[in-house]
Amino acid sequence: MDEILRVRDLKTRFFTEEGQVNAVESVSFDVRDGEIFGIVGESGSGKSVTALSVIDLIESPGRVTGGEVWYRNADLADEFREKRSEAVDGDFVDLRRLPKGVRRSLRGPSFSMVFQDPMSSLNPSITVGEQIAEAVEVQRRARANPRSTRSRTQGYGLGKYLVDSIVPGREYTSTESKERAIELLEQVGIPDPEARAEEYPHQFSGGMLQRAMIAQALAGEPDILVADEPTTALDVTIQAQILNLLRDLQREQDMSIIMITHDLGVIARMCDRVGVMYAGQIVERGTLGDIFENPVHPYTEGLLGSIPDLEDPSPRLSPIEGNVPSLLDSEMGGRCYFADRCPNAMEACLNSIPEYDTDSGEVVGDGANAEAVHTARCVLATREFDAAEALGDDYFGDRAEASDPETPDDAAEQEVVSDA
Amino acid sequence: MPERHQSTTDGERTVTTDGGRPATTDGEPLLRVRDLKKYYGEGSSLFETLLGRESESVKAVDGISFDVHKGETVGLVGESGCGKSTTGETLLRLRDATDGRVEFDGEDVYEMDGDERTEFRRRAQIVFQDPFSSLDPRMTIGEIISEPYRIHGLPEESPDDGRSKREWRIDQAAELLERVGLSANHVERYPHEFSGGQRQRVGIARALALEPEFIVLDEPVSALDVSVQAQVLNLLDDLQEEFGLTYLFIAHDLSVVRHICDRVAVMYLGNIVELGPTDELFDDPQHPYTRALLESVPRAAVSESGRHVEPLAGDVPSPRNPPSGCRFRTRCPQVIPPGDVTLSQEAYREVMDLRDRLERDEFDAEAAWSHADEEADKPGFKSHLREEFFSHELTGDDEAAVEQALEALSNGDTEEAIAILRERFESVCETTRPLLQERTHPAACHLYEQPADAPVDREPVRAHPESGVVGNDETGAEAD
Repeated sequence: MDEILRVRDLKTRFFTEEGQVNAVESVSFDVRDGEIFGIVGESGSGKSVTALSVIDLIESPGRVTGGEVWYRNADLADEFREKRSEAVDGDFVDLRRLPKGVRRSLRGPSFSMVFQDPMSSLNPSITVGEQIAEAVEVQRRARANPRSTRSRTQGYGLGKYLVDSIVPGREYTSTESKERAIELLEQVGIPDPEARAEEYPHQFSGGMLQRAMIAQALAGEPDILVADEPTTALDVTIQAQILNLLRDLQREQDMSIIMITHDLGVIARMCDRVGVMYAGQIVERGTLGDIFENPVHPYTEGLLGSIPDLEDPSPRLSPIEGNVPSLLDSEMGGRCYFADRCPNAMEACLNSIPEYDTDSGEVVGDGANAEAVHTARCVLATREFDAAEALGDDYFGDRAEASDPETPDDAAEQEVVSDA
Repeated sequence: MPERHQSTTDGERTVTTDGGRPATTDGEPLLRVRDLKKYYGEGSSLFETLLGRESESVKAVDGISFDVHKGETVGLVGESGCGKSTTGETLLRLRDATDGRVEFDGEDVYEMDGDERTEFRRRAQIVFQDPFSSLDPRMTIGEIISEPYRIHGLPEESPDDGRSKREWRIDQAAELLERVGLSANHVERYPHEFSGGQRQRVGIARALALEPEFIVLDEPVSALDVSVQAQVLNLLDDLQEEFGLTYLFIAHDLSVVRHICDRVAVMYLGNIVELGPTDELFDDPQHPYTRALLESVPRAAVSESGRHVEPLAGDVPSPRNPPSGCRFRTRCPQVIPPGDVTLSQEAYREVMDLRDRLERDEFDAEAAWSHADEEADKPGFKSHLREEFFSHELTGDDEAAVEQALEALSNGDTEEAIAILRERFESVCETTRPLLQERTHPAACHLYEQPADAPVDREPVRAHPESGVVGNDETGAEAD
């Protein structure tokens, strides 16, 4: 399978009052055609920000400060081969080096997103059908005039707004887009779509709203769908419905999905390959089997040991001690960010750790070993744990103490994320 | 109907009609809940009475009974809106019950007053779900944890060692903090300085302050990340052992419940549908809802990839107007048809969905007519309905009844259509409320033998000789 997206060394920073927050730190991964790539991590690990960075939705005070996002699109590549040769590599274009208008025009037909909370992501004062029709209309106008952003949202300016409020009956959406909206609602399994399209979001249940959100995301027939915790707000029986729906749609439309979740069960059910995030880095990535059966990074192991097993309740869980570290640049230092909670921390972990291929033990990066399937940012990928080099328990000071100051910053960072 | 047969024998296998109580029932239970009901919006306001409107109450908890024995952890599990949190709060008398009885250590909780009530409030505590909103942001951690002492007037006399009462309370708080894995010098700090897991530990420390015997844990770990969740679960385990605590553990996460609970009650729409020892309930779920719930949980293992999951269709109905009979029948994959109806379950479900739509007055005849070619195109109208509702073929009497009903609908006579369909297809699941049997692992479902006094929600239009209700053993088996 070919890659549709290659993310290399992506860095996103938030410039807050407390200082610079390194929300995403040198993240690299690929997404292939027709696969579901999972990003799993705890809150504050940077998984949502990674996805938002890829589709260029980071807002102030955040900024993508480095890295490349290669997206395969032959048309775009041809268009920019002459104009910006540095942004084109074969059929791939580096989205970060394209003009902003072009990046923006890709939202919808290339990338689209399903958000976590369907209740707050839809406008409560517009009918569900109308909102989906709007998305369809935007895509329709965009297709009529592909590279212009003016024809899309900016076409609706103050003048038109005034005209619309004075002259009733003039609407942004057309009959065709409304019909298409009803088709989309049917496609995502909403019974009686014609009637439901006329209803407002509060008349929908949570599961139905999430279906409507998915319908809206499908309006532009995207190549890549980013699903950010799409089932976290839902009950488990409804979650099963939505996961089945996403899988069916992915197969029917042959799109790729980036699935962001904190739930390892959802990852196991849905994904082909997984990246585990911790403190803004992908600390381990590989196939489902690599991650669940042969984890190398102690954090991955810790995460797996923390979840109670439904089939086989072990009497005692083995949690990871301590708390997620601060992502403030001034406090990050150049070591493995997990070392202070790691049961196997060694002296070598006090250096900054590159991504290793777990098979060969060689460093992945700058094009070298890019084919590696199972990588980990951990010394243990290259060598066995050596007790003689282990760091003492109190090396990082009292763990409870050390983790305390982190919280306000963490909260601040969370707010930033939700704003974006 | 092979499925039915299977289930019926299943029922016979597990029914032990000796009326024996659970094996764990040694002596009196610490907490005994009987037929507890909590309706919200009960009783019309003056305004509504003047307008001649009747308010419909939300039946959050609708007649549940269970026991909690000393030292055990009972799980209360269900989806959002099933009434599990309301149960926890009502049985602690944090909310007034609409009806029913709760006994704590033999005393009726709702009859207590004065000292008795204060004593109960000391012995039974609660830990809330959201560690961010359940701690006062303007109080220090020390004040938060020692508040229960202050409210209960402890210590009664100043300690001998010259400390003031306040100092004594703060010292106690510091000790509790250490017991829940935080550091004693945190007493001076404020809640915002702590992470979610740490705050939840503070909430637990506060609940422990008065040395309670019984704690309601209302989703204590659902707001936490998995690694922190595991820490808190282990802590709860340790505390239970150390202080001999009894827990009522309310949660929606089945893996967590399996991990921590001795017995589990599964709730759906205000009722307990199944109750049993944890391992038995998880390994051999009886109620179709429990089965579906367990089926839906994604396992964190490679084998999960590609596991076929048949999710429950539809949403939970509104507790304002719950379905008659079995609450789960609108989504149940095993509704029991009358004996002479020989449809597959899928085809029967289609008929039931049409009936549900008609009976709930949600049928939109105009929309159906708009698909017919012209005003009086009855065949067009009927074939549209068939297309919309039925994908399975019907035969014989079943087909005839559906045809008659559609004919009635095309004449605009919805009442008649409802009656025709009810006459033919009415299920025991919609007339009679299933109850929990008297055994260690009961399931409120008509697939299993039901007590003779199962309440009839709606008079059946015809007898159900085949359905095996009302404790009639033979007929249940002969139906197939």
